[in-house]
Formats: sequence, C-alpha cells, structure tokens
Amino acid sequence: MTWNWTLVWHILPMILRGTVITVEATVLGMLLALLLGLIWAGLLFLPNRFIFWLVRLIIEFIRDTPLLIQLFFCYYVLPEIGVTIPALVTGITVLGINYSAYTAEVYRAGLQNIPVGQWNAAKALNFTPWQTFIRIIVPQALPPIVPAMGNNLIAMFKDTPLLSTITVMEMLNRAMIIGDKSFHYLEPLTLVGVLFLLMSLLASGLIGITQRKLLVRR
Amino acid sequence: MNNDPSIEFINIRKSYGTNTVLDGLNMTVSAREHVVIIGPSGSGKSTILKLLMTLEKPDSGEIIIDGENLWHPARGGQNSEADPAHLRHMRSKVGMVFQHFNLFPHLRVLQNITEAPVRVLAVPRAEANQHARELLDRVGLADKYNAWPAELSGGQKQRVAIARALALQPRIMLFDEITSALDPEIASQVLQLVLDLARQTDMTMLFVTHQMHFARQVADRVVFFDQGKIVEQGTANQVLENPAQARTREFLSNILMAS
Ligand SMILES: Nc1ncnc2c1ncn2[C@@H]1O[C@H](COP(=O)(O)OP(=O)(O)OP(=O)(O)O)[C@@H](O)[C@H]1O
Ligand SMILES: [Mg+2]
Repeated sequence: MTWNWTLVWHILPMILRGTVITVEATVLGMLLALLLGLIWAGLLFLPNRFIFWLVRLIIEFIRDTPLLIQLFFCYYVLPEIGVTIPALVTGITVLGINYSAYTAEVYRAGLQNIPVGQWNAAKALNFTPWQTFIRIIVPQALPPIVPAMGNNLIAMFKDTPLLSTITVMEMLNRAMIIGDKSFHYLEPLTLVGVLFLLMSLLASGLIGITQRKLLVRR
Repeated sequence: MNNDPSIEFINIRKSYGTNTVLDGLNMTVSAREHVVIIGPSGSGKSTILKLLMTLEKPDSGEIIIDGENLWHPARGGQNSEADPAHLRHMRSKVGMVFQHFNLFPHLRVLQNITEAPVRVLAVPRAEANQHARELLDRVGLADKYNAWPAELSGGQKQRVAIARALALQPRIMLFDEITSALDPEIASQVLQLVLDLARQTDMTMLFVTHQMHFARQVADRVVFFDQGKIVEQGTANQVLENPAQARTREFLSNILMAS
C-alpha cells in the first residue's frame, strides 16, 4: 500500500465539496439545536407541571434512542406516510432536534446558576417574564456555558458522517464513493480524517477565544 | 401626614410547607408613612415585603395597595383572580431595594438604571439616560455611569440599586436590610442617603432594618414583629425607648449586645 499524491490532488476538490456540506449541516444543525434547546429549557422553567413533564419526556426520548435510528426513521419511514423531505434537510433537522436535548441540559444548568435575586430584581422592576428571560437571565447564563456548547458543536460535527447513510453527499460519503470506484480507500479516508481533525482544532480554538472575549467584558 | 391607607394587610396567612410564617397578619400603612419593621431572624419581616412586591403570594387574606386589591381585583362588582396585566399595574406602584443589591452584572451602571424605564415604561432612551444621570448624581455616583457593577464597592452598588428603584418612580418603596451586607461606616453613609431621600420625597416607605439609630431617625412608626405576629408598635420613642412588652425588651437588649 503506497500513498498516492496524484490521487490526493485529483480527489481533493470533490472531497472539499463534501466539506462544504458537512459544515453546512453542522452550522445549521447547531443553530437549530441552540434555538430549540433554549425553548426546551425555557419551557422547563415555566411553573406548569404538564409542560414540564412533557418536555422532560421529549428530551428523554431523544436522548435514549440512537441518532442513526432517528435519521432512518425520518428519511425512510416518514415518506411511507406521505412526508418526503430532502436528505440534507432531514439530516440537519434530525441533528438539530437530537442535539437540542443536550443543549437544553446545558442551558438548564446555566440558568439554574443565576441567583434567585436576579429574578426577584427583574420582577420588582416590573419586567415581563419574557423580558426577564431574554434581557436579564439569558445574557448572564450564556458566557459560562460557551465551552459546553462548544463541545456539543464538535460532537455534532463528528456525527455528520452518519448523514451519509441517508445519501447526503458529505465528506465521508464522497470518500467511500471514490474508494469504491478506484479501489483506493487510503487516500480519501485519510483526507477526510485529517479535514475533520483540522476543523475540530480550529473550532476549539475559536470557542476558547469566544469565551475569553465574553469573560473579559466584565 | 394624611391618613389615607396606602397599604393594608387583611388577615394574611403565609406558610412554607409546615412552617407558618405569617399567621393572620393585619397591618395598615398610611400614605407617605415611613414604617420600620424590626424583629428576630426568621420572624417573617422579609416575607411581608416580598408579599407586597408579589415575589410571594399569600395563602389567604387580602393585600390592598392604594385601594386596589393585589391578588383579587374588583371587576364587575366581584373579586376576580389577578391576571398578569393587573399584577404589572400593581407592581408599578412599588419599588424594592434588596440586601444583596441584585444589580444586573451584564449591564453597565447607567443601563442597570435605564433598562426598566425603557422596556417597561417605554421611556425614550435619551430621556431615560438623562433621568438616570440625575439619579446617579443624587446618590453621589455621577461619575460611575459607565462602570460595570463588578467594578463598584458594596456601598456604591447599593446606591445604584436605590437609583434603579427610584427610576420607575414608585409611590411605595421597600427596603429589606439594605445595609446588612456593608461595613458599618459604608452602611451609615448609605443610610444617611436613604434618610435624606425619605425626607425629600412623599413616598410611602417600609424598612426592615437592624439599625436602631437609623430607625429612630426615619420611622413614623416602628413595628416589632415576632413569630409572624405584631407584638408591639408605636413611635420609635415608644417601641425602642419604652417598650411595653417583655419580648420587645428582650429583643432590643439582644440587638444592643450584638452591635
Ligand atoms: N422560599 C422559602 N422557602 C421556604 N422557607 C422560607 C422561604 N423564604 C423564607 N422562608 C422561611 O420563612 C421564615 C421567615 O422568613 P423571612 O425571610 O421573612 O424572615 P426575616 O424576618 O426576614 O428574617 P431575617 O432577619 O433573617 O432576614 C423563615 O423561617 C424562613 O426560613
Ligand atoms: Mg429578611
């Protein structure tokens, strides 16, 4: 087995097109997870037992079933009941919903760390519950949870190869297609692995910088 | 002083689990009156203020503020359950200063003060800023408008908190042990500020404090509270100098020993 640079340069453009899709899935999936997770966490703070248990149930369900099955279910089963969604959209949505269960937990921890005095002061100043949440509580809860959210981001990034199982043409899928056609798996798979490594390192660095920026402000 | 009732507690009961904190409290505070509430730890002093601020809800009884029922507003000749709009209307009458300041750490001093007027009362930002600068001047912190709360000393934080409460121009102000987290010297400066404030405005004020010197100066009436009940009340002179009840004398001598 020898390393073939010519092949590397030849397949690189195709793999990089997959990189774009991988990044797109990660960014959009994470945005969905961040938004949905915040909604879950907010709902868990409402003084309503029914909503509380319903949201808890949803989160438990998401966490206790494999991501792969969730993907297959949405891509292969939903069309049987007449709901057909493009593969990439399905992938992004399932990733986002799946990870919202984890981001919700991170948000919840962050929100619980806000002293009750902040809620009391906000109420005494007559902010609405929504204003309190968005303007007083969330801005304080966010900076400390940046690292944990960053870990979720990187974990999701590394889960994107699963989307290849529902035909999304992300990096791994392209590498496998190249391998199947050329009978050379070493170069495409190594290339994909290295790209994942580089981008994970880059993301870690950015997360670190973001957190330091947020902390320095006060 | 005119005697329109500003606040009425009618047969208020409040428990936390099996711990009965207020057991049928009846108390009236007149408009513009300055009432100091004293009593041992755990006797329910803070609970009274929290009830007025709607931070807690009574188990039973009625709270009347400015002639309006806090939790059961009259509607169509009947008393109904308070909705969020009514509670916000009622809260607009009341402001509160807390023992631990509770400034918003993510907002600079000026925005700590302006955020509520701008968001809650829809005051234009420029006008709110102007007013906040005046209030900061009044509490002796004109130069700190751009600081973060974390950059202030305890005494300065409490001054900002006072300005923040004043910015909404409430008719009733509640002060819950506002200097007990401060060094004695700083505390007396803050109390002097509050004393000036009390003399210059016509707000109704309720103070919970252990500072008897301050109580004597600010109080129209001192209420001694124990185990969820009023034990004794009257002028500062009556209650603090010539208490009628043994329980009051015991409490005052304990306070004296502690300070
Ligand atoms: N959120 C709560 N949950 C449970 N019990 C509470 C709660 N808040 C207050 N209590 C209890 O109610 C009683 C009265 O509390 P409160 O804070 O009104 O006392 P206080 O007179 O202000 O005392 P202190 O001088 O120590 O501030 C105390 O026994 C306290 O433990
Ligand atoms: Mg108290």
